[in-house]
Amino acid sequence: MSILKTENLKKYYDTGEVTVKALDGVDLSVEKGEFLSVVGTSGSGKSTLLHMLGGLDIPTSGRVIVGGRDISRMKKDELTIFRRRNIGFVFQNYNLLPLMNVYQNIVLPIRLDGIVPDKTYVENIISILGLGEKKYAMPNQLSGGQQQRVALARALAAKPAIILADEPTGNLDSRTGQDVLGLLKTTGERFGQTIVMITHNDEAAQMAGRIIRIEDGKIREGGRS
Amino acid sequence: MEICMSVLILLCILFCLLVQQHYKREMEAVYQGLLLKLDRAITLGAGEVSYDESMDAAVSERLRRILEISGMHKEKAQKERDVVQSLISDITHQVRTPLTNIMLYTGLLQEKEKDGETAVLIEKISQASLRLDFFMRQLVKSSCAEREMIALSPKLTKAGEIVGMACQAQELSAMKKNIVFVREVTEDMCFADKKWTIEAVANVVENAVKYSPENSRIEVKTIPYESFVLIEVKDFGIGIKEEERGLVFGRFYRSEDVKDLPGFGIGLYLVREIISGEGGYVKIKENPEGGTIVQVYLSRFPVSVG
Repeated sequence: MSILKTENLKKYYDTGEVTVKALDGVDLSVEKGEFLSVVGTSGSGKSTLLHMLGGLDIPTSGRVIVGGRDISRMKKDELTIFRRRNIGFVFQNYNLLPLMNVYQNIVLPIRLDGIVPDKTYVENIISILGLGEKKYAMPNQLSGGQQQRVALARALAAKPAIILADEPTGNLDSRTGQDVLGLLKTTGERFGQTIVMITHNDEAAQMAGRIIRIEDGKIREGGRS
Repeated sequence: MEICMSVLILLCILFCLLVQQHYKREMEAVYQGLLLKLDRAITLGAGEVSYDESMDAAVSERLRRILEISGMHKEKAQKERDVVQSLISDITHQVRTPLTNIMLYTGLLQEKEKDGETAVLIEKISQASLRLDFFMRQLVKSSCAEREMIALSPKLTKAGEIVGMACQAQELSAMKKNIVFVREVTEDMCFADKKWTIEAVANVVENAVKYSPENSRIEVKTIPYESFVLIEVKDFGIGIKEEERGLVFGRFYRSEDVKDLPGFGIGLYLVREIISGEGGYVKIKENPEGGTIVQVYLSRFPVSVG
């Protein structure tokens, strides 16, 4: 059962003189529990694709279907709520709230929904990610790798349908990056999480079960790793 | 009078709306609680049940029963598998003795008849019995290559110990090819099932020995990362082609390049099943100096197995 699908997805930017075809007819299907990486150079369209998948932007044409729901035609408010409940994000620059401690950052999306966090589940995630001793630390007291682990915990805590990771190791040195990728992979497997990661780094991409190459807004290769 | 009536009706409507809102919230709370229970059951098992008369307790009890029933099915399937496995174990054990005898006596025969047609025939028998021995060993290996068959109970273990035991297991075959193990281990602890992880790493080392030329070396190290401990096995052998690097983990996969060497293609599949089951992962890289680097990452933190 595919948990994520795009149908002839297109995103064109009309700058008046020239039309930039960021995405030019992308058909993608992701099964539940898969770890997929999308590789491409800058300007290939991979970031645009991620924005479409995450409902952060509306396509010019085509559909994006997440968990059976077509998000490309949702209204802004509905989309915001849907996104918060169904999609977890891990960004290159962690994006933790500096005035909240680690635990508060992790449960924030859950609490924004007015749901009481499942303490046992959250504690389990914190322990697997080795953040047990840092639960009440502030983001500025953590290293880059630790901050990214908090971001990952935050994404996992809400039990989203999919996790979208945008260059998650971009701001980390290669060793810390490898560490974070390892956690992304193993926690994904442990929690049956579907993960789509975009990266320009081939080695990082190899961590995934399937690699897709994107170039000039089109998918070039959809091999298995 | 009429104003009174309208106000009364208005108040009634308001009251109804408030009651409706109240019940809506109650329902949501109940569903929320139910969802929480189900989520927890999925990830951690049934949990505590309170034995009172409430609806909540009734639902918890049913949930526990469902889990129990599915647990029983699992147990039954496991028992059946155990029977098959002990059958295979018994048979291979029984076959061992006559097979060892065959190899012993053909060896003795070879001492007596060193040349001529008889020697050639004896050699053929010897080769056949060696292959039989090999098949028996692979049968045992592949009969327990499914994760359900592998009961992992990981604990905090010294990674260096695992490396030591794994290399020891392959010492003999390495010596035959004059291959040296260069070891560099640290004091780091990892979360692993000792017996199975040694088996896994030994498999990796076995491959390294198998695909390395004579008089070469194999480097085995432990390297600490923040959340993982890496056990790295580097060989300077024939290497794996890039397009095959993901495929070699497949069950029974064997590259065309090695079809003349013994093996069933089970080793790496088993390795991945064991390591993933412990919350770790395996990576294969090319050795830039020629050969293969297999990286086994084991978690530093306890991970619940399931």
